[in-house]
Amino acid sequence: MKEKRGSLYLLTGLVIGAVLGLLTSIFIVPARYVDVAPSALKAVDREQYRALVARAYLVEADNGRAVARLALLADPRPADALVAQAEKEKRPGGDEHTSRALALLAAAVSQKQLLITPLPRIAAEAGGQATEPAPGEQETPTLPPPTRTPGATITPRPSPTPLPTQGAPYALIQQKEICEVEGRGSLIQVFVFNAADEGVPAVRVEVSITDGGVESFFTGFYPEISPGYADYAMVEGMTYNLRVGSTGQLVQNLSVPQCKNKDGEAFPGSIQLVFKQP
Amino acid sequence: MRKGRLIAFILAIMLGATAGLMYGWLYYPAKISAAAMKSLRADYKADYVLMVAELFATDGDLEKATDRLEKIKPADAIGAVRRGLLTAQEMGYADWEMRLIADLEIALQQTRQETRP
Repeated sequence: MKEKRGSLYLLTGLVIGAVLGLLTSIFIVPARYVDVAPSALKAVDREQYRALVARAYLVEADNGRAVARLALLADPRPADALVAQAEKEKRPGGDEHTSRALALLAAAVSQKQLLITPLPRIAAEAGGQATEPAPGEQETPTLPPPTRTPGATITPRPSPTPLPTQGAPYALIQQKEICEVEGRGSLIQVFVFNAADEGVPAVRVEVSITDGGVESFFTGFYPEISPGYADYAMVEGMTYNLRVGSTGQLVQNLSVPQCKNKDGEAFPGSIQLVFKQP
Repeated sequence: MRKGRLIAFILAIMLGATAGLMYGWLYYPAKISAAAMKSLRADYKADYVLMVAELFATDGDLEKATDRLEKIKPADAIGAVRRGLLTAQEMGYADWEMRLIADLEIALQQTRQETRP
């Protein structure tokens, strides 16, 4: 009697082999990843990368660069991913600073025109033009409008301190131009000190533009520089008048100073104003 | 006849295994994101080192910087920075960026020397 058998055993062999091969390739001898892009990172590392991009964004204040770095992760909706991670970081055990950085970067991704003031660097930058140290103690950052800067999201809020006497006159004791390395923007950097040489937070600083328009901001949002520090981003070609406090001395005709780098190329500088109560 | 079937069966298993391995090594990794930070390409690592250097320049927290660097080069933070510095140089990073990375390397070096017995 002739035994009749089909070829189903071949299919069985193929399936067994495929399963064995797949298990081997995943668990026993997994593929080695070499020279990958950030988009290939595993979830945990993606989050770490995203957090680092957000923290670096606070230092550089460069929207384009931060967005380009985020694009490397190839998130379908980068802003959503940032917000989700920011919320995750808010939970117990998370990092509040990272959460804020992520939230701020999410805002920057959604609103391209958003500008922030970069965090100051504590390590002195060698080379380039000499950076004038702030009276507080740290190197001063440059850049955009305090009105659009969610300062409180970047830096800790200043601890509540007694407000200065209302109407106390602040006198300008120092005005100088600051030439920092290129690409940082131009600021009016204001330092307000009391008679005891202590930085005074929550002092209103009013800036008026020659052809109309007044903006005000307050000291104290950058305690890491000085409790009495505030800044304002200038636009080239504009002239500003500035007053500290309601009866402080009016400083007129402030405009972007022109600096030169080591190659003799001009770049916009900043102005530092130091006010003190007599 | 029986021997022939056995050989065919074994061949089928080997064929299936080859297909399974190919899928697991080539296709499956591309579909999922499972790489670790240390697998990043050199230019991405250099940018990563730059970001770490920028944060270090802001917070001065060398321990945190070391932790971050060891993600791209476990147990050799200085090596990660040196590699990053070389790549940054090759890629024409700006002077101030190079300087930030170099500052970080110096800080790591100093700490290593201080901790040496």
